[in-house]
Amino acid sequence: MTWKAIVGGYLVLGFQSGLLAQLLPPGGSVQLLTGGYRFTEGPLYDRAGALYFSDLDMTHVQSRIYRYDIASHSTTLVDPNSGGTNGTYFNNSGLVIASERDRRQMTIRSAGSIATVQQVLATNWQGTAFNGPNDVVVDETGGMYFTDPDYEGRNSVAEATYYLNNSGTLSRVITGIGRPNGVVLSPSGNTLYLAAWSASNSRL
Amino acid sequence: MLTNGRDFVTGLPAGPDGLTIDPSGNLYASLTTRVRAWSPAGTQLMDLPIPQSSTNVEIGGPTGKTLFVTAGTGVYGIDLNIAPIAASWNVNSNGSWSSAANWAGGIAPNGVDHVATFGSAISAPRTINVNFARTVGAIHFNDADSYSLGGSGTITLDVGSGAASINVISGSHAITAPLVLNDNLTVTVTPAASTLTLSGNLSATGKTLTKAGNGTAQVENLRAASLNITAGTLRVSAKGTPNSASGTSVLTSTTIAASAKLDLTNNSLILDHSGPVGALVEETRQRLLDGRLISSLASATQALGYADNASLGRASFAGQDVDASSLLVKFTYRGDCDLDGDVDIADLYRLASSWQAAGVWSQGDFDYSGTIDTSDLSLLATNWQAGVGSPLGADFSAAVARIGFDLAVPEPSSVFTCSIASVSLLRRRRRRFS
Repeated sequence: MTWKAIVGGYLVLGFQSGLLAQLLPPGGSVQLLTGGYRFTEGPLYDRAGALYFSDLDMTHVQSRIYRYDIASHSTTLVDPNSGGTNGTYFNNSGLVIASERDRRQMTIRSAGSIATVQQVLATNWQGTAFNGPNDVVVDETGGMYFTDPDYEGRNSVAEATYYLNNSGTLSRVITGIGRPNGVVLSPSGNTLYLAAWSASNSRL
Repeated sequence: MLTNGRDFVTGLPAGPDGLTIDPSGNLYASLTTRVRAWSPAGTQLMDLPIPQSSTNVEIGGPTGKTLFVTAGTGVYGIDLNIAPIAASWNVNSNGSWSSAANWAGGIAPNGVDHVATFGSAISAPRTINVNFARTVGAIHFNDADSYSLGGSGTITLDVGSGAASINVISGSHAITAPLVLNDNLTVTVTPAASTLTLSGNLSATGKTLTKAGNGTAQVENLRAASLNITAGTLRVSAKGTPNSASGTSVLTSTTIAASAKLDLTNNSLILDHSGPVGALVEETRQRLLDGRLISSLASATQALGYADNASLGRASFAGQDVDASSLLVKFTYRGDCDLDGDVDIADLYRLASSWQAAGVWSQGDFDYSGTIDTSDLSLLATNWQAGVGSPLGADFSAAVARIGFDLAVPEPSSVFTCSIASVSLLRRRRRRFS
């Protein structure tokens, strides 16, 4: 397993909008599907015609999860107090794994209701609470990588990327990356991509 | 476990936030004002301005091609021009579907419209472990050696448009993992000698299953909106106990082409119409007569019987709730007019009531001829009291006598006549048998 960082930098390189559109069909444009929230995050297609997304409360009190039905363009509130879910991912049993920024934990949500925390998976590294888990990806074994940046200035455990294996053993696998953010695995499962949001720690 | 950490891209216009990846391994990142994508080699492929500050990205939707972007106060979407994965099993061994190394091209198919081909890589029967839920639009089997796809993971069949497909080009193969249809499914088993066995749970509610090709597809049961058999045989596997709930199929409509067959073996079928059953009763008789609806286990003793439930008034049948607008088919004794699993005086009464008239199974037509005649009475007499528990009812002669049949009359066309008085007698007796 190799891993690669998407390194954030504030140096703006020249980019050529419109010339790099192989992935976009001609005439396609970005459409607003649903709006009027506070701070949207955590999009997760439910594989059944709807998209879950999080609406984060900037005061860290009452974040929510909504479900947007693609066919009917209707949105329903499915978790009125989400604990600040940010990145989410399905595990291999089809249950939602959530990174909870405000409750500062990783959880599994129940099959019947995404609002129900079925199990708290991790809350701390060696006794020190996480800062605010941000994103998660589950691998083929059922283990998961997740990031714990400190956007809220909680100054708890050092920012890191963790791996929680399918037996529940937690490892700290990447440190020294400022504001580790998005994580995703290649289709082969052999490469982990990590978004390094902060420019200040861009060297690996 | 993690080695070889290195920069993938640098010099971005803003800190990268959420990431996602498409089936080809292209990486997408939210970069505040835009979403960019790169190939696995790091070549930038897309630079998409977003109206608000983007935080995260996801690829999904019914087509598997929609890029969802959470940004500011909204959620945005755009359809991408990405190709589904089409991959072939590439090792001559048992192995896990989810292991990319087992597939030519190094990517395991798993997504809407993806195609999984199980072809000539094997030289002996192999089992593919579906250890995690997988989604594909099409599965192809093409080898004389058998593949078996099994495991606790569900295989979801899902396409962006049209119908999903499972194709057997050669050999006989099995899928023992559960199957879920997100779209209609066409199963094509081309060689007449080939069988595709689908022994896992098949979730097809509201969908249409089409069976094509001259070969056989076998299921445990089929509970779907529609079944179309354009060629070959669709068989419901024989169960240890006939008419077990696990073998009962429930369909709202069926078409069976000439020379195609629906083989129920020893199972029940419910055709659950929204309106009255009507002409379907006669159509069912015709299908049985010309061999489009069959039981390959039928004998002189047992066969498929059928009835309009409006005439039976059942609330449940073979483990399923039924209403009056249902046509019921059951593997039972020839002679069991009312599909209750035995041949008793209630059945004799039904036959007597339609004696020498046109009619269907539930009126006494056990050979699908369309007429209740001596051959039907002979079948009923042969199976008299079959399926009746202890104590047995009256012997056949006594039962016939009870309802006033005159067995001594020589002319076959008038062997049995049924007087109004004898029917009245039977009506009183029936209460004891029903």
